[in-house]
Amino acid sequence: MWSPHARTVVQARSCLAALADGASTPETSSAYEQVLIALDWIHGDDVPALQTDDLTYERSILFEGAFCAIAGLLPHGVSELQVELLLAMLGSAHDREFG
Amino acid sequence: MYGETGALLRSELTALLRQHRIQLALGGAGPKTPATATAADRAAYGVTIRRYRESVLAWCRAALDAARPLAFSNLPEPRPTNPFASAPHEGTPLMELHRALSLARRASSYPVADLSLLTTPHPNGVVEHWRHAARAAALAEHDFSGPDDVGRLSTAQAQALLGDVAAVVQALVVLDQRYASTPGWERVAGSERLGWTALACALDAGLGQPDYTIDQRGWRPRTKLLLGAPKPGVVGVLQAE
Repeated sequence: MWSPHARTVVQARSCLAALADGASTPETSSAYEQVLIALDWIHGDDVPALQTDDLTYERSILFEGAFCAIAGLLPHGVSELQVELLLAMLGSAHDREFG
Repeated sequence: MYGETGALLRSELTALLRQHRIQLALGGAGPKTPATATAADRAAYGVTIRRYRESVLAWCRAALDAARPLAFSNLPEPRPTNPFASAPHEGTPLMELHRALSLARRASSYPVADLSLLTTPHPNGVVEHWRHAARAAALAEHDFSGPDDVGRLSTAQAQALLGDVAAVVQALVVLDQRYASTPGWERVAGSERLGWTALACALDAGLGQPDYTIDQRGWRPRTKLLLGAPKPGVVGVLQAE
């Protein structure tokens, strides 16, 4: 995995983990975790660690960060269908949280 | 070949997943645009889309049937798997996905798309994408339909096929949720369970080493003799062979 790809995965994973961690209901948390599981599955054993030092607590910014990072996986060899599925799952989790 | 039909199916589903505001795309009224199709028209589009969806679900089921004898679970088990037992996959994600797919197919009140539906272009862009996806699914069915084809897949190839089926099922579940406001729309039975079992199946398949040479498998047209006068260039070389 190249460095730009690793940075994108780190951003996506960190934002998703923070969203799941700070969710108000178990169902919402589970929905964000589902996206995280699917993201980890795509990368197999090449999953970099989380980077939570400079993360904000603002959920809309975390969501934007996760969305942009997942959309940014396209140039790094992740298939378009997988990216669209991840974005759809993220959107579903967002709808579950904000209605 | 599976590589061609699978790629076509995935690209059409990707195009469908990129479309949001489905009612607007089907001709419904938007905040600033008038409706171009009545509710009855959109309901008719919905019926057509559901028949195309059944074709894709039928492919998923057929592909799962082809992969089932060969795709052993990668999850650790309390006791060793006996490949000679009558049901070695009982309780695995694969069996759960198979069960959920069977339930979805049984509960549906619509048949798969027939030849006229598959071959007639549709004026609406969304329905047209569904038609192409259903065509790809119909073409892909004979990649694994023969009894010999099952034997030709290796376990690693079956794992790759399982991963693809799981991705297609997940896409169908997402789209089903997105199309729910279409007039007269009928949801896939047990769609939540279908989504979770597909994810579990993908995770299980991902634990192994899927073999993507499966793209070379499947049906391909018979080779024919190049008759007639000797042809120039590369075609001439092929003709000589």
